[in-house]
Amino acid sequence: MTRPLRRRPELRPRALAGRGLAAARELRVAVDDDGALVVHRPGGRREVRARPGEVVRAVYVAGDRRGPVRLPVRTTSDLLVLLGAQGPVLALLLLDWMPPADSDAEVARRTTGFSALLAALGLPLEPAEPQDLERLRAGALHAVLLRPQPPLPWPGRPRWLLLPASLLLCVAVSGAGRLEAGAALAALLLGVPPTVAWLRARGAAQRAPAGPRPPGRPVTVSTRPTAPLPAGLAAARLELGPDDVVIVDRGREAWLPGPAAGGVTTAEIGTRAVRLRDSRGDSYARLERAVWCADDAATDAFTTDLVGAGLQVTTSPYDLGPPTRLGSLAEGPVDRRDWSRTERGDGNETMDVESAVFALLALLATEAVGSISHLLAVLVAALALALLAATAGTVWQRRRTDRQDRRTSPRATPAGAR
Amino acid sequence: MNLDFDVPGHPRWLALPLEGDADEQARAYVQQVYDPDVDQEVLAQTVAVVAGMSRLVRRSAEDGPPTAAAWTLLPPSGEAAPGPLALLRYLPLPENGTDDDAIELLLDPADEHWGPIDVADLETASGRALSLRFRPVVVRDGDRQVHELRAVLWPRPAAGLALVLSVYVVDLLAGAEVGGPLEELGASVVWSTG
Repeated sequence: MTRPLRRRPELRPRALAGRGLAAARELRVAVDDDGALVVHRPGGRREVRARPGEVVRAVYVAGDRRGPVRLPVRTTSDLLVLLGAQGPVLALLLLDWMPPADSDAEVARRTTGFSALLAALGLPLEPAEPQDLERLRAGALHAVLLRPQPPLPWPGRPRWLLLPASLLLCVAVSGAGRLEAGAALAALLLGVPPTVAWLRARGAAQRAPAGPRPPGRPVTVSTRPTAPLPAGLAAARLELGPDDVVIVDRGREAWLPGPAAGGVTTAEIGTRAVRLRDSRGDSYARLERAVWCADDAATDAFTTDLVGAGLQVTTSPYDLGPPTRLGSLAEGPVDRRDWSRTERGDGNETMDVESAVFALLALLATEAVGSISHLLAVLVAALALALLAATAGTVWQRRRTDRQDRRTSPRATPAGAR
Repeated sequence: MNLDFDVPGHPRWLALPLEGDADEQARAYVQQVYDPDVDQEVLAQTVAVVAGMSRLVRRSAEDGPPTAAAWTLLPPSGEAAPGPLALLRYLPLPENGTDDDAIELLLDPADEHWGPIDVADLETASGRALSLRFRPVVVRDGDRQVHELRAVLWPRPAAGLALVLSVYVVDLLAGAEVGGPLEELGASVVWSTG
């Protein structure tokens, strides 16, 4: 019997979009050849978290057995904590590193790369004992929890700044004296910098550039439907390199380990889904067959592409389960409305309303500011209008892109033509 | 030697048939404990797994220590395959044998292992027993792995034997899952030598 290919000891983030794309493409947690635990950051920065031999235990905390352990994030995910002699050196949430295919925790520990990482460190995965949980309480994990999701844009949650700023503006619009003018200027000093930061972050998320292709002369695989698809889905693609299998769909990217990394080696074509799996049989993604290889001709062309990229292709008489959301027709969190707010660049879910109210109140407060200086009043009005326009612009831009993605592609691709 | 024992039913442990036709007995045993509404495919797979385990236990009992009974741990949801396997066996212990001698029937403390060897007293329906956790380091296909042995041990030097209820798993998370149910099963075992 052939032994499964050894998985490279490396974790890759789950599918991410917008401000998270850099992490999807470049953030990796790995054990290097010397046995050091390393975090590779976007931009090429290499951060050694533990030198060889410094990690002495790997403790696993099931999501429903966390006891006194507090995390800086609300989640039900299982947690891996790597402990050094002095305490935790790195903590990772299983869900943050999972490929798109749903799987139970045992399989997920393999497909995320957790098992390979621990094997390279020479450590077994131990269930957390009550004394471990006690040691991990009191915020011990806050500094070492590594999440691939982008942080909130500066300065964090906006409500605590925009609410007092808007209240000050309410004071400012109640009169036209020097007191009101002072309140207006204080409000602007408080509210404008974060609003500009959030709008810039949102703009950056919307303008995220098309991804770099994986190294090693990758093969690009386009969709091959026989019926019209939403335009965004029709433009989805696979990029298949020796180290990476990348699914690109409506702004989201999942960078899965390729065959040379001991990851996806095989595409199994079922009646409903195409299952991307490793040599052990663990699933990484299930693509919708109607999107990628809808009929015999498309299946032949799809097979040729994948074989050319070094993957094995097999067929199955079964449907192979419901397709995962990425690369499929399933309704759900695929388009930009449903990206997480940090991926979108939003400070919170009601940022549009709060920014617009703040800008409108600033516009109304120009009369009070005019009691000090007409020139200043004109500048404030211009600033308020610019904020209003930028807020509306980012909302319009996002809706326009989503509308375009959802619009049905005018013609179906002739099967097998690509 | 005759060993009389009785184990009341435990909701998480399914007894394995050690006599008669393995397939038929397995089907009968599984149907007794599984919800009749459970998916038929799951039921068929479970019957096959239980029959396979029964054969394995019967074969190993031919060459190894006498096996009085065997169980498999039922999954909490009823949707996954049952496992791991618990064996109730008896091993010869000298009349002046100590607890340590009994423990060394199961393991060699000099073998490489991970963490401490945990031994605790356990009150059972058959009197005092020892609860044991041992994590041996095993090299397989060039990989260094840590496995786990969990056991409830009744050293009875006066009777010249030690009764052992044990589970061996290749993954410490599985070991943690099985530890509690194994002690519960052990606590209910009533046995005596005839």
